[in-house]
Amino acid sequence: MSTPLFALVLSTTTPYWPFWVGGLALASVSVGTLVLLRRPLGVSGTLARVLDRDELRRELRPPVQRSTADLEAELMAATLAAFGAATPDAAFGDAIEGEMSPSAVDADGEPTTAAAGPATRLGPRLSWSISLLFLLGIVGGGALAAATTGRPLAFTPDETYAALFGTGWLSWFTLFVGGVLVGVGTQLSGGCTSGHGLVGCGMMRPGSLAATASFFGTGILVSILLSAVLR
Amino acid sequence: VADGSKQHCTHVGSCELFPLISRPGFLRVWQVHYCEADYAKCERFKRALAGKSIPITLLPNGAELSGAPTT
Repeated sequence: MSTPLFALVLSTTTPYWPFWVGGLALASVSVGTLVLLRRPLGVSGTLARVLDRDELRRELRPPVQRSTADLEAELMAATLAAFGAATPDAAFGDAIEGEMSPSAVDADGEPTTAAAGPATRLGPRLSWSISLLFLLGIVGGGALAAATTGRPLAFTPDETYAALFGTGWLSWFTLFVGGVLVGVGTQLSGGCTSGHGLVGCGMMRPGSLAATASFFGTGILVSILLSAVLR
Repeated sequence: VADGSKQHCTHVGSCELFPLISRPGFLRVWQVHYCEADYAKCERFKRALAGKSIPITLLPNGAELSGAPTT
């Protein structure tokens, strides 16, 4: 009986999936997210959203539904309050409509892409609960992948890491500090290895290319330095 | 501005607030003061930049409408 394809795919000399399976899976997820949800993949942004108290508050207490007429009246009052004399007369709210060329707005009255420049129409932002589900899926997916290779689901530091920080509380504390630094870095650069590395680089965004080069360049440099220290 | 000579907010093509403002004159005044001017001061833009969700009820100046439109 021939070897099943699934077993062939996972057959490797290391206890991990072959790199190209991971590559295909990541490409499917990042392209799939863009195509299906019209949103770029971003793990750090999703995590920030899940940890945002305002997001949770909105999830638990959705906004009150108002009629169009009520909203229009409230919008009119808010516009007058914001701009005062600069606001077009309420009775002639359409007075400066002609200032926008017909090609600048689409059928819904929204500015067109041409008028807006290179803006891309994005899908609605994921809700708090979907964001949480996405993050749990990452942990669950990792556990599932590990289970298929027969590895135990445990944190087992490799020799280099153990030689530097041991295997006790210091190793956990170091991981925590590393996590905090990664969080600060992603907030500073506006993304992480998924947002910049997978999506941004795929779209050839200069900022993402620079950020990813910085992530991996620093990683390689630190690895070389640590190897030198441990020799 | 279609000739690209002016720098617009990159979210101007996808801002969910616009369809809510039915009067073109009112829509225009918000766009002129925020989307086409100093859009960095737009509260919706700031939230987008921080990766946060943007309530449909949030106006560019930070004021919030008391409810969302009925669907």
